[in-house]
Amino acid sequence: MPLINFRNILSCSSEDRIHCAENLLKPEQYKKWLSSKGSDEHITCIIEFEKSSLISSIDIGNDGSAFIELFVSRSSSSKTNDWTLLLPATLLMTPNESRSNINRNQVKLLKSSDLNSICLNEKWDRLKIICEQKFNRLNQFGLCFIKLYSPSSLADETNQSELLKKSSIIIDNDNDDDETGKEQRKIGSFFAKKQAEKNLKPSEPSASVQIRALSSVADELLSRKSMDDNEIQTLLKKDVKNTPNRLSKRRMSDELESSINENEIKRSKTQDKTKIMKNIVFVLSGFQNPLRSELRNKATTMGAIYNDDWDETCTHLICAFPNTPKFTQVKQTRKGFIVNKQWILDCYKQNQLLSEKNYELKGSNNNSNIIKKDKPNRISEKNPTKIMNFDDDNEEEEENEEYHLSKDVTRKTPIKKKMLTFDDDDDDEPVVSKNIKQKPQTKKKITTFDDDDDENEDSIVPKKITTSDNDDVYNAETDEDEPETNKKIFELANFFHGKHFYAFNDDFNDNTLRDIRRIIYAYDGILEKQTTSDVQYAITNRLWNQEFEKISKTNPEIKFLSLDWLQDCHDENKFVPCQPYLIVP
Amino acid sequence: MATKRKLPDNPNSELVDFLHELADYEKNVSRLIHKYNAYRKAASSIAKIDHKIETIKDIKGIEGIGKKIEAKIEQYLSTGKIKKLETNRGDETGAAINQMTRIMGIGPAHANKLVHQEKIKSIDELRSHPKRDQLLNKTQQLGLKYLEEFEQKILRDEMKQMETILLREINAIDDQLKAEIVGSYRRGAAASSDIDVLVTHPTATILPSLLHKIVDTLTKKVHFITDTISIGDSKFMGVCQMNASKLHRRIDIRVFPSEQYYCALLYFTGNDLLNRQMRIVAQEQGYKLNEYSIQKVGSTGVLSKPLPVTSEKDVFDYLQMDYKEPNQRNM
Repeated sequence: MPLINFRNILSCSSEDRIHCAENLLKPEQYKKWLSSKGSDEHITCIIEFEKSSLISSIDIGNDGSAFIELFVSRSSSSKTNDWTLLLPATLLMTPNESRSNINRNQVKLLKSSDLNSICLNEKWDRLKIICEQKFNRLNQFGLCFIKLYSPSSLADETNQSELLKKSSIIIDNDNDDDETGKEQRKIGSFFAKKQAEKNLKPSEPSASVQIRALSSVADELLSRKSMDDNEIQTLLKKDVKNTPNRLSKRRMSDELESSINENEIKRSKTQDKTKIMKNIVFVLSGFQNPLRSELRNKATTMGAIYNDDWDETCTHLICAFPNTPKFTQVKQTRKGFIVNKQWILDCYKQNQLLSEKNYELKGSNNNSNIIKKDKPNRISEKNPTKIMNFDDDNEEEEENEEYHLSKDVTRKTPIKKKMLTFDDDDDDEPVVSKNIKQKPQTKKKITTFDDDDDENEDSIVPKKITTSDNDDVYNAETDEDEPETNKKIFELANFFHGKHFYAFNDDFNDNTLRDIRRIIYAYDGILEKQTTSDVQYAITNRLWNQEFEKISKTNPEIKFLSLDWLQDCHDENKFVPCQPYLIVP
Repeated sequence: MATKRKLPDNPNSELVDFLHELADYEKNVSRLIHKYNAYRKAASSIAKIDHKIETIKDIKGIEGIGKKIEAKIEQYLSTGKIKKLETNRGDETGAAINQMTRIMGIGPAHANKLVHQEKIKSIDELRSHPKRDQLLNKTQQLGLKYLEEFEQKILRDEMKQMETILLREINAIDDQLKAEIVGSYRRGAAASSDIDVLVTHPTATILPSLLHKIVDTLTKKVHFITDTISIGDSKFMGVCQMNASKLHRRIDIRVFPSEQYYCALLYFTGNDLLNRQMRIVAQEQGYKLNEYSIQKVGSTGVLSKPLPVTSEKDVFDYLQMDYKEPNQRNM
């Protein structure tokens, strides 16, 4: 769906000196339009399009407005104020959110069914935006961006369907997947680009985007038998420029991988679906129904527990795009995984728990180190032979990875040179791991690509990456993945098997809680997120109090124990009798 | 529901009452609805005056008072009586018609017909009338049957007991069902005139069948509901009796999908003056409020989709009004 380009602002009732209405003209820049301080509760802005266009869908990025209304008109119209309603008043923020100034930046995606049907069949060249905020008169309000899309032209459609046909040869195309993918692409494109913009530092070109582009080109190549240089070039450019495409390709390649790569399949043991995500507590952010319920249902089918809001017990945030309030919140806690929805969909489809690495959300990579440490959350089911270092990656595989990694990196250097001007977020980790995962066919792809590409590249091929900034990234990454020092494997005892635990979240700081979780999971215990009737052992650092009294009334079996008990169990590697550690009235 | 209210501290309340009585007579007996409206309008204009009207000059130029009404007011001011009212009060047919309109389901037209065509002069005559069953439909027959009982107020204590039964039975059907008794009871009134129950369930599609199930249970299992006046997909009207020693009461049960529930709760809790006030505020603030939803009125008058409402407070929030607890809603 092509974006409708804006030419200029015809009028604006109120604008901030810095955040002026002009900012809306280039939605790719994501600069906002805000009212001036102390303005009216309504602000209006009229935008002229570059050319008269049909409108089929709209993305609105809010910035503090409670309501929005949209009108369209034609410059050719004889009457001056001949506005036709395009979007009836629509709530962007509730009164409560407005008054407490939270969730200012939600994104609303409007389909043609949300728009006034009379408008859909005609072309328009002017847009009037009316934003309203009367619940909060202190904060400036406006829009972060507004994007209007025309319906796909006929040519585009054929292209798309062709592409679809092609991809369906290779991948088992899932319809609902495609639907959700579209949404992801739409949302993702904005935020990924925004992130990219934020991180744009001319001196630091990131290789990730090129690599990603390259691998998606390679995917494409796999699907087409032959292709000339021009085609590759356009594809490459398109990919780098076009994040949505990239995302979808990435997904395609992930699927591709699962269907092609036998190693991958071997590694994954197909499990009982209801236990795949046991012990995972997840929160959804930024998804609207029906997608939201689809994700929730799939995850809960796999045994995960859904939580409305992020709390100590949560392990995964499934996020539609960065910058959601929950995203920020979880990022601040520096705990848990932040992944995109594809993780759930792929786990569901492949009937196994996949590593989160490939699905981590853009902008969340700052957390990757911390996140990694949280992995033992699932160790008990993922790996029957437990590894003391809490890293659930298989040793043999790690060696493979190392091997391919170095290969890949070498191979990809030339392209980096070529596309120095493109940049992306500093999200290197998922890319690297993706390449790791791709193993044999990555190599194949690269070869194909090299063969088809111009000589320019060959000249640079021998050059090894030694000076590149990215080197560090890879090293760091490899270290993470292959903790050489910890290669010794211990058989972990499972003396907590079948035992239910609860830890009073408020009693401990995050690090301690993480350790508690680890120990419990490591010895095959079950950590409940609430003091349910199953809970036998509650870990606390408080003395007997009324809360305990209440809990023990409903659950007479429960034992309140000090943290020392858990520590001693761990130290002695056996189930230590609880008696000395009991907390009693 | 629509009992006429007057501001208690109005210095001219007696005059206002006279005008209302004249208005009712025109509506019920003469069936001249425009005269009725004229009296009502005059009454409300006078109700707004905050000082005692001493002479006819005090009401000169007030909206809604024409020559004829002015003459009647003058009559009242000078003699303390209105001749027409005295005549009306002495009018036997008029009194009979007013009597008939006490019966649930009988309006002025039907009352007139009964009095003029059938020459029925009193409730007792109607009760013993040989053609009674042809003259009255089912609702009206129930209204006649329970006339005196329905006119008795229900004390809060009895309301509470009925609430216990209702909620217990409703929750037993489906634990996701949510029910509340609204009306003056919810506002904390010491006595109520009927029972109004609102019910909601997260699954909107099963609401009609749930309503039938609720009525069935209350009728057959606990014999709480004694008569059904009407039942549809969203509303039941009927008669209930807690036990043989208690009076028969009017009961309405309405079901609403959860997104409409809180607007309905607000509306059916009332009181009507608060509802009216809130609708006025809504209009001023650019919203449309009714018992189903609150919608934003766009700059060209086009309504938005119903705004999300998850509590009564949300409605107050949209209107930027301070939340009022149910017991503060007796305006």
